[in-house]
Amino acid sequence: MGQDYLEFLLAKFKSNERVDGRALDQYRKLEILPGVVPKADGSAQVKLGETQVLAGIKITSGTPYADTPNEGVLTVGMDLAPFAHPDFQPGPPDERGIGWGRVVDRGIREGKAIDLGSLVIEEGKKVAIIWLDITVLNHEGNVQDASSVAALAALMTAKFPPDIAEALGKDSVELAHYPISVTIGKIGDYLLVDPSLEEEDYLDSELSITTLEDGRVSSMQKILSGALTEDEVLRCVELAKEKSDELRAAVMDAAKKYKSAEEKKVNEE
Amino acid sequence: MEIKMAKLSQEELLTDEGIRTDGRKIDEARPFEVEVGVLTQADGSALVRQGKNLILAGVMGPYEAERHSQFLDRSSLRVRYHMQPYSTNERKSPTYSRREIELSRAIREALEPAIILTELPRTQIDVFVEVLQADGGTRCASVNAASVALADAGIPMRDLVTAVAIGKVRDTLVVDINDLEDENGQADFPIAMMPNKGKITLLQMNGLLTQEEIKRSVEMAKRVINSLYTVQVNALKKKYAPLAASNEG
Repeated sequence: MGQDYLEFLLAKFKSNERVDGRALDQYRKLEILPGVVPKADGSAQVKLGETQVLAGIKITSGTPYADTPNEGVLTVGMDLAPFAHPDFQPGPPDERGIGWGRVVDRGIREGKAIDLGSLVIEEGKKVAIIWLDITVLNHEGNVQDASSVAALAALMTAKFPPDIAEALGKDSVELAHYPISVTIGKIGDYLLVDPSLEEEDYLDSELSITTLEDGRVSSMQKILSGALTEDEVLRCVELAKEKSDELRAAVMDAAKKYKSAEEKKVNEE
Repeated sequence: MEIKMAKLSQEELLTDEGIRTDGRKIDEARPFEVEVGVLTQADGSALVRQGKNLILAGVMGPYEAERHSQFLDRSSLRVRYHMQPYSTNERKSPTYSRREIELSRAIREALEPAIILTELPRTQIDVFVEVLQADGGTRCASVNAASVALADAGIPMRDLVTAVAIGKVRDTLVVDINDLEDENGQADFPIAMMPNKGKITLLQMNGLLTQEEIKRSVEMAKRVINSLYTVQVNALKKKYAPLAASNEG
């Protein structure tokens, strides 16, 4: 039964077509809604097709880690709402959820997207702590990239609470880079971006590549039991660069629109 | 949970003119919106905005219960109320708290009388509530979201369940309290009802009220509940009336 469907999928892929009508290198419709949780210091809901995630940011002040006394702290959490998929259970995330959070975390951290040195209030004693929490609300495939987009959109629109803004002398989190993850699945010899939940069942392997706006790669993560050839990995890196530009442009646009609407609101008040 | 907000005096909570912190009158409920069927993986779902509360409820089931938790004559209902870390003024620790356990139970027992559990023997129904933004009266907003999500999942029910919290500020009863009134007020009195049955299914109270105030609180709650109920029903109709009218499916 699965085998027949796999052959059906492969036959479609041969003519660069997928079950939902997309081309192999095409993302589903992306919607980015910054500011959906006004009580958070930054937030963004993202819909990627029917996949829905929400990223929320809280910023507090606290003591730095002993080994990095002159750096602020970024903490990324991942929560899988139990109604997001029948396999999700209440409680702490499983290895899959942890994995999604880790890829977002590494993409931001290793890409030095946030200059943690700029979050120091008092050297060695007091720094800003950015708590980035991502909630998966509906899992219809590729939670990874939806989470990466939501995280970036929430960071880009985040504001420090008044006391921390005053201590740091700035209102918002400044980003040095804009990391975006692109997830590519492999079925047979085909590479497809943004796998749907239906396609995920048939993936041999999956590679998530986080790229910065300058083309450098800040994290990679291969998952699932299949293997990739060298050539496939290089093709994926190329594809990730190209696709991340599209996604990044969408985040930039949403953040810009949100910020100018917010400014307008402030001016009117 | 530690709340680091300035303490408000009773006079700040209610002006001489009878105006509350958010500009409402004492008998005025907060804006209330319900969206039905916002998720695809849940069997039923509802998004509720009640004031600044933003609450998403999803129902999974009914599905065959595990042997050890199976009842031969009825369905078993599980309710989990959960707050996201970014939902509150102070970041909430992601660790599941005693408060969340208490509220999960209160919400389950508010919904249970409305569900005809004997219609679904050996099954389980899960109600998961995620508080995305909290603004006082989250348990009531959660009940409002959950009962619509249950109806959306096609669970046999006697009635919807609708809830509102009555509070007391400056010795005056007020309806549908927000978080400032909850934290600084003299009483928090959440009430849920099956509006058509006229029966109360959730009743908690923190604070001090006289017998007379309790009586009046219930009357005030009933009026608000009836208007919230209309919003719940209309949200369900918005999704299902077109389906009911069509000859297909």
